[in-house]
Amino acid sequence: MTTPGADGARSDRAQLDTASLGSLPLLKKERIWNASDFTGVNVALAIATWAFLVGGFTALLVGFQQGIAAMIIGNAIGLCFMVLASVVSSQRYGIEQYTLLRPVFGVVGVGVLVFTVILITEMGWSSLLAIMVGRAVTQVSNSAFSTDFGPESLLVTFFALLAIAVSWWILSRGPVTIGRFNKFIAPGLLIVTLFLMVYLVLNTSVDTLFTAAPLAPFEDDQLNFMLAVEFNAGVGVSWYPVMGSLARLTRSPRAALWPAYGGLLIATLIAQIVGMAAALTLGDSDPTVWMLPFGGPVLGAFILIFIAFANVTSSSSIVYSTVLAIRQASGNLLSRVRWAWLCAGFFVLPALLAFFPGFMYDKFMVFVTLSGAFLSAMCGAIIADYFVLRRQRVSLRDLYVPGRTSAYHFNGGVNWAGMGAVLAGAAFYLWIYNPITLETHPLFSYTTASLPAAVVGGVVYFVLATLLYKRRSIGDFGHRSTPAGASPARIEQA
Amino acid sequence: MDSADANIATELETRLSIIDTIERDDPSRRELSGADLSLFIGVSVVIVLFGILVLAL
Repeated sequence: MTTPGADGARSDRAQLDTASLGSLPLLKKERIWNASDFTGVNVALAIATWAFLVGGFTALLVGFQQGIAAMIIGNAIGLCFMVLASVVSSQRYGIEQYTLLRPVFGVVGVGVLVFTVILITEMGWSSLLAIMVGRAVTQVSNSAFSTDFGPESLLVTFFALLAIAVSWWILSRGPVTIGRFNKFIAPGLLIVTLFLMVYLVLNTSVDTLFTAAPLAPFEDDQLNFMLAVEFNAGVGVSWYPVMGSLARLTRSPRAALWPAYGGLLIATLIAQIVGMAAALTLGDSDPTVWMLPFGGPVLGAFILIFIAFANVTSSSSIVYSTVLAIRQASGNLLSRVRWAWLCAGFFVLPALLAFFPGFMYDKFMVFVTLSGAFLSAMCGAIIADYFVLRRQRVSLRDLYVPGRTSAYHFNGGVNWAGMGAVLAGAAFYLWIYNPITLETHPLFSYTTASLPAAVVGGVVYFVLATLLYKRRSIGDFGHRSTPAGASPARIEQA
Repeated sequence: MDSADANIATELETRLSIIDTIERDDPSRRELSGADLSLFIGVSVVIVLFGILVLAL
């Protein structure tokens, strides 16, 4: 039995633990990952079912050789500026990326971006994973019980909703439960990938793969290739909402930079190439369709059930950092809302989208590239702020001081240079390539849209921040010497 | 400010002090060097060129 006082103390301690793991800067003793550990984490993240899905969708546009090239180029570009924007500063300061966004966008500006760009990106991915669960179970049902449920049937929606409910349950239990499930999910997915590779080697010749036609290309070959590159660049940059939260746990800049880039790039490429080969061999971009022909009714069904469960845990993993960000970005508004309720709130839109399984699959590429437009512009602004204007120096104390006392308060909590840069970069992206109408500017065939969007975001940020703030000594651009920042008195006032 | 807020503020202050003193020159807090940054961007460019080579083969 415990006394109310003990309960209160325990509650305070638990809140403190959540806060410190959530947003307070980590200390050296808490940064537990070396380069090898972090590589393992990134490989486990990258070899997930979404990599199969991306591989399958790339096969819609291009053949095997062009697909490999598109995956290498697209992921290399997207991951390059994603890593520079999120991993480097989070490693140095031991803080997740959303708190570190405050100098670039202001406290209110970060809230706006979290509740729009980040939230929509993560909701889209989690609804897609849930629908994939529904489709996997439907395949098993059709095979085992000779049912005839289609890929857009109510059964898909039912199991997608069930997957969301289980994801919520895992997420509401916290990061320890997520980690526990991932311990066997990640190796299991590695085995599934190897299984697919062995099957492909045994049953498909290299010639067949290299001569296989793309599944549903447009008429223009160069456009198909660049769309595939852009799609993969969008996938690379879509790691942004997750990576800073992980990189803060690493012990040195090198232990963060190369494992993040190399681990994600190599593991993603392997899983995507296997997925693309499977899609070209079987003529379908949906990974849930591949497993029964590959594994037969028993093994195939087992793999599908495993993939369904893997999707649930993957969804919990990516949503965790987003829900944390929502809580921090909302200020006092959601800080008292129970974690489980907050997680439930996140899943409302994915649950609604589960009623339209065909829509999410059909619009997958549009969704990835559109979210990539905003994330790329954000990354450009972040890189210009952190590397060019601040020379990798941020005042830790000012990140946490609320209101006008913070150097990063700007005007009404918004750094308008950052917001303007995101809008300009995203607009430039949509001008070069509109993923909805598929209209492209000739420039798109040579530069992709993500890279110029990031460059425009960075240049606009540099110009606006210099004119609006740096010249007027607002925003602490001229920096102070100590890592933590200003005097302790300021935090006491707050 | 309730007790939880006070605890978090105290914890934050403790952490900032440690970072500013004990961990100030620790290798884990070093900024990314210019050489590392150049190497990273260079490797990314080489990988993109490799992708173009795969396309051209």
